[in-house]
Amino acid sequence: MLEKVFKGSKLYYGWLLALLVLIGAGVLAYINQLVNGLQLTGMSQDVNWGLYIAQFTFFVGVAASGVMVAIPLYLHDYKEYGPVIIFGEFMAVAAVLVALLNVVVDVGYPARLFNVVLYPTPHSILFWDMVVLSSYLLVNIIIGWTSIAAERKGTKPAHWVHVLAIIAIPLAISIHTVTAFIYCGNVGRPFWASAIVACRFLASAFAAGPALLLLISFIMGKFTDYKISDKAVDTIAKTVAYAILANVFFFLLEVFTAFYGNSPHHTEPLAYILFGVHGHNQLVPFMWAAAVLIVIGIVILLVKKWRQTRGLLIIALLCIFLGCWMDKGINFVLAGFVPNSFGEIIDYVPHPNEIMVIVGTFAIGAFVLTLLFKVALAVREGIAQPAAVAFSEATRAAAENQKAAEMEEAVEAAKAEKAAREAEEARIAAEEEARRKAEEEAAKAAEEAAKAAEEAAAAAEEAAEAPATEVAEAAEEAAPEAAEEAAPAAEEAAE
Amino acid sequence: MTAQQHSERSLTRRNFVKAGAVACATGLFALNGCTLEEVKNSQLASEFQGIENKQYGLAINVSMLDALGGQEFIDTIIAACHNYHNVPKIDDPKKSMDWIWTQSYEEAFSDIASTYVDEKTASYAYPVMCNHCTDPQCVRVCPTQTTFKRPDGIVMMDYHRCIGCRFCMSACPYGARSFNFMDPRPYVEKESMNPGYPTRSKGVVEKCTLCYELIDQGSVPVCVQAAYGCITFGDLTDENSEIRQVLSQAFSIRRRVELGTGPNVYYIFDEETASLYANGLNLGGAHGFEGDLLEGGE
Amino acid sequence: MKKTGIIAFVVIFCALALLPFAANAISPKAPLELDYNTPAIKSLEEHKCIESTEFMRSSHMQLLDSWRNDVVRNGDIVYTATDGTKYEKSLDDSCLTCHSNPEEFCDKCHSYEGVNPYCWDCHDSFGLWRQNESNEALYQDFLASVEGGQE
Repeated sequence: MLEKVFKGSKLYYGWLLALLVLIGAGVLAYINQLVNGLQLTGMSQDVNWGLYIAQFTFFVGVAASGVMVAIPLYLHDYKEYGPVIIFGEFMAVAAVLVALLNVVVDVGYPARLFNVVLYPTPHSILFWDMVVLSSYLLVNIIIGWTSIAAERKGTKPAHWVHVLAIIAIPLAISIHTVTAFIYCGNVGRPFWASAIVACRFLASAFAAGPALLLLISFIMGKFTDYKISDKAVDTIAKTVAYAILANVFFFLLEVFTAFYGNSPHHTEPLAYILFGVHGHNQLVPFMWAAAVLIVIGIVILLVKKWRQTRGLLIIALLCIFLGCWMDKGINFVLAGFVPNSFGEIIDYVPHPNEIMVIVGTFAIGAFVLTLLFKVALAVREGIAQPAAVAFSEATRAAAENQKAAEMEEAVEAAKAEKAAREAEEARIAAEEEARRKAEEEAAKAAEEAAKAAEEAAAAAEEAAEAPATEVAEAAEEAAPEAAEEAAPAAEEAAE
Repeated sequence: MTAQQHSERSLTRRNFVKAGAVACATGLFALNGCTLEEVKNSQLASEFQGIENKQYGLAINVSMLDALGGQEFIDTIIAACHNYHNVPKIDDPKKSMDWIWTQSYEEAFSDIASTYVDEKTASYAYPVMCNHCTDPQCVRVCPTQTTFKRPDGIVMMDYHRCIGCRFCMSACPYGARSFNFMDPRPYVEKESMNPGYPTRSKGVVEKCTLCYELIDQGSVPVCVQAAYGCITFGDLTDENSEIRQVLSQAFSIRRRVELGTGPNVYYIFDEETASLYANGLNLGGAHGFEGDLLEGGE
Repeated sequence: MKKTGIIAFVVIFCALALLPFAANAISPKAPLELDYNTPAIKSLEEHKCIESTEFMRSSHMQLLDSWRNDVVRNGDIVYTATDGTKYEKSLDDSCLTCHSNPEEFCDKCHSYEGVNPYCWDCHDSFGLWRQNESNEALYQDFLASVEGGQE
């Protein structure tokens, strides 16, 4: 299937080339950093984590958001997501890759990274992060690849793939939870040491991730035959709306807790990003830009008519993605170091080299994403392999044959049913006819009997006292007997 | 004692270089670290039995430090430590490396500092360093067991193993750790460095190790040696230890105790002793003064 | 056509991959000469390392690796050699005391064998210290005193 990445339009190749140029620039910048050390970043002894770890955090979230498509499909059998899920899984693969790359470029001594495996340390959250992230990456590659391979063959994925997809759901939640634990275990950093960090992370991830998935789907729809159903788009947009509302709510909980309680340890980092402290206000523009963007996004998503207008929806998704990125991909990590152990505020000034490295990791992610989506789309379009085309045609023909046979059967069955119904109607008509005749006869007999009785009564008016009623009863008894005798005759006539 | 005189007496390289380094460093004192020969004689007499269960700590008498010259005097202690351990001297405050340095009262004790504080307390310089916590955050978060707690309580670094993730720096509530953002060697001052002690490499975290190598040889940390009795070193779990004696006699505080890490660096306020000390009275061993530690202090 | 192309590719690939081995096999290997003439070694009565030369040649890296773990992680600083002599487990304070010329001893063999250990990133501060002119003068005094002491 991998050979499909080599067949594409000029635009496709141009895009890949542009990404390769960025990757090259990123690699050069990284070599520069390897030689000269992490002094080529904005980090300092006080702000010892910077944009690298922030990107790691944000993209772990994007990776985890794949479950927002997986849960409705696998747990609730929401069929609209059937064609979307493969892209959610492949996006998770690329996002985990970007996250891991940002860890690799962040460590000071990358040659020793394997020490994390050589000396496994269960009491370290980073160890667990490595475990869940690598598991999640592996699981998503396996699910995505086997699903698309099955689709190519026109079969359903094996049962174990489905089982794996179910396992991937808690795994996705776990990768972002564990990432949150990296922060919230640090008692010395009040901005991070909050129980709600994992919830905030998941909420913002479930907003930003599906937003990105939709945006990429729209781009693909523009340049390829890929179509995502309007119903799926609207459901994902609703997911984004709920998630971003939860995220805003959680953030406001932090704001309330900090400012109502008014403990300086908790207010200072928030004040730092909201208003600036002692003239240090470099993160304030990001905070308020994120707030405005997210509010715009929420308003558009909440109004059904606007949400279902494609242009407005794109604006809303862009706003929410960028807002979440500014919140988590910049502010959350940097504000955690404010103030430092001595009440000082140290600003973070990004280094151009560091930004180039980050762009390089994004380009690698986009490159892998493009190749994976290309494979999936090519398989969907069935353009690449004649054998596959023949196979799918054969299956289609077989299906048609089967359909024809089924239709014939149905016609026969309908005919038989019609005949049976007609026979039944005839029988009912005959019965009614017979009953009416019998009734008439009975009435006639009764009349005659009455007449006879009248005569008899008139005859025996004086002496004989024969009761007229007995005669009438006898007449009545006689009438049904006559009707019964008439019925078989009527049925025979009907047949 | 000059380096040359020293080398005439003993030919072991270590002794020579140590004397040379110290002579160049501060001119204040000479270290009495063990020579190779001395190790053979004293330490090797008994087989290694493992590190004993203890909790080493420091008691810093800030009043006495002030009486001996305050910041100026503490700077000589810092220089002794940094020169002995070849800590690079980097001017950029964002990248500077420190094992021990000073902060003001308000900064070092921001959580408990009084608003209206007496002038002396506010004016002291407070040496800060790794607190060798009883329950260290850094050890908990380290993914490779690079930093670990020795049985004797020292929070130790194994620089051979560090991947430079800086999780320990995020976790440390005391800001005690420094990361090598660049190759430290060009920033190690060659005239005052200690040739017998390794440097670190680019990309690893470092911090005060309480001079574990001197403790293993039966000596005491460099800062204690250089502090003329203002810093007392000892086992906090042993109620007869000198540090416990010192702590039982004066008011002391620790940094950020409410976090539960159990810092083991105590700051003692002891005006009385400080004034006696300033007047040149010999106090004996009760306050950590040991004459032999100050050998060559002319 | 396709088959021959594949075979040609395989042959060329293997040839390229094996080229370094071939080059090594053909080229004459100059015998390695290491410098043991340091003042400290000269002053030794018996020219012998802490273990046999064969062991040191083959296993000094394992020895140093176990030393660093013992010293740094366990506080165990004493090494008892096979002959019962005890030494301090220290690259700087034991090994380099005798081999005070790591460029002529350690590095020479390491580059000969094509290995690149990162010991010197941190260790051998002595070499770093000597880069200072006044320290170099002190060092020369030291050397003179060593040689003088021998006479």
